[in-house]
Amino acid sequence: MVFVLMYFVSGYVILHGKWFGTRPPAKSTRHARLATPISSNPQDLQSGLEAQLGLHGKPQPPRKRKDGSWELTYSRPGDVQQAIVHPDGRVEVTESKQNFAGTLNAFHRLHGYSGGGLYVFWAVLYDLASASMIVFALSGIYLWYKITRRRTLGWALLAVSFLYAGGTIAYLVYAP
Amino acid sequence: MRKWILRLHLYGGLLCSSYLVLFGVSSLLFNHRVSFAEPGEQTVSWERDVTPGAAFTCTPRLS
Repeated sequence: MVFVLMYFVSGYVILHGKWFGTRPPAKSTRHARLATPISSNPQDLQSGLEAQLGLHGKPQPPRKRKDGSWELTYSRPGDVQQAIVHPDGRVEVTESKQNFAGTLNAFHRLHGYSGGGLYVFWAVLYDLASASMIVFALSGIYLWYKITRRRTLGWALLAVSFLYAGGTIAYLVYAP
Repeated sequence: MRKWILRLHLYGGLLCSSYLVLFGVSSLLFNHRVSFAEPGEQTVSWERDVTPGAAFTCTPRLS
């Protein structure tokens, strides 16, 4: 229940972002040099950097850039760290701290079974909430059908609901 | 009072049911990598000279 309520609140903040402050993310950059040679294996590089630079959050797969450097991004709600590792061992870490609206936005979009225990637990709750929405909607329609005898208004509301949703999707996908 | 709350719950639920199903299905697809829901390989690119302030139309070209 609290989990679903969080999506309602954060969804509202996304819809009306300006009401909750438009301050851009506060960025800070620090430079470092790796104490150990750079590993050519991205996974080794990632685990080594986490320990040396104190990177935290959900890691994205390392990306090799055209100039030969590696880009590693770690994100958690409200905080994104991006490390650029140059072939000569220089590292540039840029940290972006989101405002309140940005943090809630990140919570709203947090998904996927990766990143470790808490993130996976979040994804499980996410799946449960998603499945609940489908089950509660369908079981609600079934219960309405079973407990009412005069169903005209109900059928009309159902028709309006599904036609409006279908029409909205068709318009958004196919409108010129 | 109870009767009105029940009606509000019942008919409000019927009105919102389609969106609940939509959000439920799209959320599940968002949380899992399902092949048919992945972005397609096909990209559309087009270019055209425009004159600022003038209306223009374009025909996308598939590549």
